[in-house]
Amino acid sequence: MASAYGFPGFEYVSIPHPVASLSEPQIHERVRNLLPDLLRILGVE
Amino acid sequence: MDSSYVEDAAAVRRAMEYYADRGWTDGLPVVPVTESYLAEFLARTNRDPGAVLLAMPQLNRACTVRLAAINAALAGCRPEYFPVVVAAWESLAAEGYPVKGIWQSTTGTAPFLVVNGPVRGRIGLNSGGNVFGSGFRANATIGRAIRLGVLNAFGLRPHELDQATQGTPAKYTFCIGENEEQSPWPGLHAEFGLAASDSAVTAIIIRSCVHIEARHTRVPEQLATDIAGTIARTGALIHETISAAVVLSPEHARLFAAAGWSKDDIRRFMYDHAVAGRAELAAAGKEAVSSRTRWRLPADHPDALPVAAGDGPVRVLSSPSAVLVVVAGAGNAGVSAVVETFGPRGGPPPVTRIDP
Repeated sequence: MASAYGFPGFEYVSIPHPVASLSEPQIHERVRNLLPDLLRILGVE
Repeated sequence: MDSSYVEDAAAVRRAMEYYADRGWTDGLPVVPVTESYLAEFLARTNRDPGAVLLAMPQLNRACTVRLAAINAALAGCRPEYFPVVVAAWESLAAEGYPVKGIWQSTTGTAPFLVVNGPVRGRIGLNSGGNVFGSGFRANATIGRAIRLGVLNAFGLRPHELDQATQGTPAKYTFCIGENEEQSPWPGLHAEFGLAASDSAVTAIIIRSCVHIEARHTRVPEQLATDIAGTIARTGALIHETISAAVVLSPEHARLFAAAGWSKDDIRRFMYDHAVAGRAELAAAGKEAVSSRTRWRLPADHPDALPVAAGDGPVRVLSSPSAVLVVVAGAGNAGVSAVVETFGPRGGPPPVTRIDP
């Protein structure tokens, strides 16, 4: 998608599948795990 | 093959490898396309080569008449098939789900093309025996023309912008004619406002094709119940409701017609009898629907809407119009199919007239 829009280097965070079958605590855990990467991409130290 | 047919077979193979190396194929060899060959396809339509047939704004890409023609030629279409390909793209645009991104989805869908009218005879499009199978150039290559357009005009390649978990064999090609000659009813196109003498394509997004073995009965309610049970299988239920194209063999169509049933009667029966028991749904963890997506999920899911207790079975169709009825195949056995559609779950299908 990023390449299609002309931004091949666009950084993004991906969440591993499956997601639809997770419980609420499991979803919170996924989010906690990806937060460091998210903050790094957003430039938050 | 007599070598006089091809001046330089090695050159043809080099051209095929050129296309394969660039990822411009579906995995099978394609026909080399030159500007002069492309012109033969464009000569079959009055449309401007730059006219857009289907656009995907989310990708910033579009399939023009010229791109559709290139991919039809690559697919092995004869130039006279091209008006059918153009109408198929228009029908897909009208259907709406490709534009919304369904071809990139994990579900893994493909277009199902139903062709009606005199064009079937003119181009040799099969509507009889082995209608879902191989052996007929028009069926094989018209469906493939769309597939190659999806790959090459939109870049929806597997492992990249096409994230299908498993996909479907229909991704190679899935194009049939309706067997109007052996059908007791008006064709799909005539049912939805066109003249029987018109030619038309109806494009429907599908996921699966499930067969019905019913050689045992002459009772229309028994046959219809067999079909309704297949439509209602829990495995196909991702959303609250589903949709289907019932492709009846001529024998099954005649059985219904002899008992006085119309296509509408079949649709109404499916609406009333394609039902899932609440215990059956609960056993599969699909008894509730999400408050946000209306997807099916277990009642104890945090998104689940409360399940009404004590009622009867649950309809899996939201209206009779969620079912299309088409007649196709040979008149030699009680074998039919449910094509599990994955686009709009009701309303008129995108029947699209083919330019004469």
